[in-house]
Amino acid sequence: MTTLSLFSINVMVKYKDQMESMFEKHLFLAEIETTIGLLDEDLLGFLSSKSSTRLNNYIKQSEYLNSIIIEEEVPLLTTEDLLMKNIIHLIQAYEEEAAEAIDYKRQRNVYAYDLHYKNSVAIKGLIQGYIDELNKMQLIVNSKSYTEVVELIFLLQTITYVIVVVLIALSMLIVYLITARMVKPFANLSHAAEEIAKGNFNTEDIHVETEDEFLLLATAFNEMKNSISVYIEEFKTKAETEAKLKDQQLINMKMEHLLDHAKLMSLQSQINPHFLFNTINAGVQMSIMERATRTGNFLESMAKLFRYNLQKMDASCTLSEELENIRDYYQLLKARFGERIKFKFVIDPETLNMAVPPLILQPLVENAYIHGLSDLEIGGTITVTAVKSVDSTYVSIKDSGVGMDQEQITHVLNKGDKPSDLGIGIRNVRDRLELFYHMDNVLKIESSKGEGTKIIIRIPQDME
Amino acid sequence: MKKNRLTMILIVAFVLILVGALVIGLYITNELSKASKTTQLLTSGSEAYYHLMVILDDSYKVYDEQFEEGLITSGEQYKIATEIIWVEGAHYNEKVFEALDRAYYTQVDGVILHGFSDDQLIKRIDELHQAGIAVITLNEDLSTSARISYVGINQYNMGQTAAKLLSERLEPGDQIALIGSKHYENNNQEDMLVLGINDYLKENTQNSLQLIAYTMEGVFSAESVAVNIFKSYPDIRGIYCVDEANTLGVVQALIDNNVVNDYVLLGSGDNMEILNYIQKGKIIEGVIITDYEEIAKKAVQLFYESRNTLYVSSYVDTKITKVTKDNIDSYLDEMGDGYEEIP
Repeated sequence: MTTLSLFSINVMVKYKDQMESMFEKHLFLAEIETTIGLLDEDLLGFLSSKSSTRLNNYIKQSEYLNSIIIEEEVPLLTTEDLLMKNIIHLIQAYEEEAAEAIDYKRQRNVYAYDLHYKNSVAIKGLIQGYIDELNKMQLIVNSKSYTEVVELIFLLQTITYVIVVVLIALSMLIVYLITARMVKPFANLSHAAEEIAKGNFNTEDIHVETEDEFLLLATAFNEMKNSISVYIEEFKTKAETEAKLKDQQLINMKMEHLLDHAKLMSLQSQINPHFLFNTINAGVQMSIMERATRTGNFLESMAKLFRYNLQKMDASCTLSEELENIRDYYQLLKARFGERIKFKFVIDPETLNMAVPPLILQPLVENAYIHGLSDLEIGGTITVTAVKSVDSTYVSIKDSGVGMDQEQITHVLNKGDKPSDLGIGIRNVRDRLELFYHMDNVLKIESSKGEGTKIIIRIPQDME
Repeated sequence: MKKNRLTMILIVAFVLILVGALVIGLYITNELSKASKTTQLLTSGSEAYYHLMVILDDSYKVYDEQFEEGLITSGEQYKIATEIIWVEGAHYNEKVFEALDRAYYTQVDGVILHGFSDDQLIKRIDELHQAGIAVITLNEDLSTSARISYVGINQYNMGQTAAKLLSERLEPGDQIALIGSKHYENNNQEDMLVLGINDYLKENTQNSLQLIAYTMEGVFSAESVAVNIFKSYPDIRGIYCVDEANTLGVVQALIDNNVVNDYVLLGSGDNMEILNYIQKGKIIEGVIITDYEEIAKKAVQLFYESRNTLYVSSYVDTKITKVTKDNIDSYLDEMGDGYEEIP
């Protein structure tokens, strides 16, 4: 607006100056012409009547005329200057002739003052002529100038319109930029808030370039968003952990249930352990007294077996302990059946410390004896092996008994089928193994009719 | 980013347009103040140091363009402003005196004047001289006046040249008529011209000048005079016209009266129509051309020298140019080379 105002003022001033310069000469010449006319009137009046009033008026007009014309030499640059110079000299000549006429009038020299007056009239005519010529010239020049000025003014008008339009457009653009700059942080904030409301906490932080309240607001918002995000992550982690714990608890509960069930099953086949234990101890003492060594050994093995069953309430034990339990069981069987049931142990020492759930081998051995060898008159061999491989340890219970066909194997392992006496123990062991190791395929049965049965347990390598 | 870039480009464009419009507007605003400049006295815009009043006879058309051109050229050179007063109509002499009064009262520095033989004029010239105004005469010498110099052609020489050109084409015994404009009446220069013609004819030929006729203004006056010659003067076979208007008037009369081949016409001026007739080889045998531009230049130069040196020549001849069929082509080609100058 300032630019436009200054520009418009400049144009108006120039235009005013131009208009003034176009007409001031006319006004000046008109003034001279009028004054000359008055001078002539007063001169004639004085010469006619010798009126002092007329003379005084003449003198005043003469002084006035002299005051308005420029007596100093004006450089001759234009035709106007030339004509103006002529007018000034003619005015001087007129005044000289008029002065002569006045003098001769005072001297009462009629012929002389008449002559000089006529000369003054002639000069006045010349002045008139030059004024007319100058006015005419000025008119032509001013007409031309006016046309040029009108064209220039029209051009200026157009340019002013252009300036106004451009200024308006520029102003609107600048206002748009400023408001956009002010509104942008709010828009970003609003968008971020929407995203957070939808649950998306991964939006970018809001960046504000100005250092004002927007910056404080944006900083607080970012902190809030990040904090909420962190809290939510923590809650998630916590919830996941709790879920895992619950799962583990469930697993443990199931393990315990299965263990209890195994124990229960184990104990179901046995008499009240405490009563039996005590009774067996009494028997051991009697055997010692009677020097019945074999009986004593038999009873001791039985006691150890019952002790193992009673004490092993832990979640895990070592393979070594399980194998020891098997040996005690073997002693019992050996006492009953002599050499008819043989046991063989092929144990890799490196596997002895493997962590296993309790009471996993004894049910399998018992199964091998009951369902594999008990019906054979010649008996058989139960081989227990523990072999370490690259990623696992394989413990196998193999009997040389009657064996099973594939249908029987499938029936034993199929969780959906109702277990028979043959399958209950194996399934229990398998289930506990799966719970313990959190993996499937921990137990495999290889058997064929008349060829015996081999049950293989796979223990993962990192379970020590 | 794209939006920001576009916005910046728009802002820059608007600013450039705004600045451009303001610059143009300011330039035009400045032009406003120049719109009313009047005509400069000198083309270069310099200040003129002298003021010359040139009083010319308006009926003397030969003093139009070329003469003014000479005044302007010389004025530029010597920084002299010239004011031309054309005097016309009845009471020519009185009007000249009034113009001289004007020169006196406006205190000009010098006057260039179409002179004529008149005691009053001589007296006025003396008065101007006493007032410190230098007077230079054209056409008429006025050697008895206080004029500082006369600039013009040597009329006697011109007469000689005209007589020679005519007599070369006439038969012995043929008569010659001289047709002049009214300016030549009672003019000493005209006397010199006639003297030159007569002297040459007398000394070199068997031809003589039988008639001196004067025309009023305009082409038709010369036609009348020419027709009168055809009818009334059977011995006249050569006609010499001293200005362009008379020359063209006589040409028209010759054509209209179908007597082109019966007369030898010698004209004046380098009007294209006249030169064409010469080129065609008929009607006009030749012309004698006065260099009026040079007259003007010389006159202004003389004035300048009168103000800046102690001595100026009181009589300055300017050259005349004879153009006939023999040199018309070169004259037309170059307007400088190939034509015969008469000193």
